[in-house]
Amino acid sequence: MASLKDIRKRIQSVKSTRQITRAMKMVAAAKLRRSQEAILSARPFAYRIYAIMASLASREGVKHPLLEKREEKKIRTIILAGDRGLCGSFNANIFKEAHRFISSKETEGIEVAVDCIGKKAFDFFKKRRTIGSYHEGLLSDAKYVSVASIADEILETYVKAEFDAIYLVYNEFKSAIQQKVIVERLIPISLEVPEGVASILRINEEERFKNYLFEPSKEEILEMVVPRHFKTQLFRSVLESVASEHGARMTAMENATKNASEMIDSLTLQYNKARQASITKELMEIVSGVEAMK
Amino acid sequence: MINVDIVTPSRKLVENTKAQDVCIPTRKGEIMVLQGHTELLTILDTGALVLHQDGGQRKFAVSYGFAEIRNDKVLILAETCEESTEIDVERAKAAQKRAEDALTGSLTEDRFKKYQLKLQRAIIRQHISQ
Repeated sequence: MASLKDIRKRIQSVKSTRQITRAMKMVAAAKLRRSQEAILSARPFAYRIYAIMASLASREGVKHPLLEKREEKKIRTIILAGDRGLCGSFNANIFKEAHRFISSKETEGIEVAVDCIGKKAFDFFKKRRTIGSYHEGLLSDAKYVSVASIADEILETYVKAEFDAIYLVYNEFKSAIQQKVIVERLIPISLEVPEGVASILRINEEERFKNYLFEPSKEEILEMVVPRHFKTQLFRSVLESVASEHGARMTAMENATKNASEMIDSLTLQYNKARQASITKELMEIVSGVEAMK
Repeated sequence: MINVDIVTPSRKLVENTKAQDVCIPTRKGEIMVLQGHTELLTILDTGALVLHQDGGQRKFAVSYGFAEIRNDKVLILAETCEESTEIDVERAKAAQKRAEDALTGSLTEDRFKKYQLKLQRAIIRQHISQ
């Protein structure tokens, strides 16, 4: 049996681990709240931009290169994961899904280029593939401007026809304890109304823009609005992923704290038993010593 | 009276605020929106947006985006927008200096445009914060 000192040491070390996981859980919870707010405040802008774009693009004779489908020969996949670990299966799920998606595209004979956002994604894929571009440190305080500059670079490669489609693999934020890995085609932009948006946008959106005066012209507005839509989409995905990461970390740390408490309980029991055993042993020795002297 | 909303990708600066008129910098020049304005969708230009209210006026530096006017409601969708009270003049001055320095060198057309816009924004920010 382990000595009393050993058990005491182990209890101490588990206790300090629990303190760390508990603190991390608190931090994750606070950050989660903030990132949820960020998602909410990003929504109005994204919805209006979408409404303008959808309404203009559905008109006859209006065209934009980012809305036209090309045959997929070479695609670009952006993998959006976290910068840090200790968040359960958050990163692993992304890698699994991304890997599956890439292999399925490659068996179709499509060339796939990989880009990474987040340190963990880069660490995972650098051993397996060549990485096109990599962005780190963007996630801790996601700013529209920094996401927009990545978006600009992506748009450029699409416009130059280096790629025929752009896909994004990311974690969608469902709730604090639930994330869903999603593979989404960002470009060419699909005009189908995404889930959740439909209920918010009124149905008469088409009607709404009917009598509008467009300045300078519909074409120029569309030219402006389509890339903006792409940027807000990418920005939204980044925010969702960040919120998911905090959610996943919070759950993981909650579980770790619980496990640590259980471990402390069982170790304490073991400690008490060992202590009792040693007391009994000492008593026995004394008693038998006394007996022997008689 | 008209109702004004100003929305950026990360926040709502102004929500459902009443104003007598709004001056909006658009690509085709500055427009003033009063009650009863026609329905309009237009592209914003970098510039100063001014809201005239009963008790004075509120100024904003805006760039890139759209303005939508409908039923006496004005919706500004701007990629960047700052109210005059929150502008850091020192930072704007520093940005102006940086842009000016960059513009004195020889530049590609893209970069030249980029710095020119930066310069423009920096000057507007300083201007409206006064």
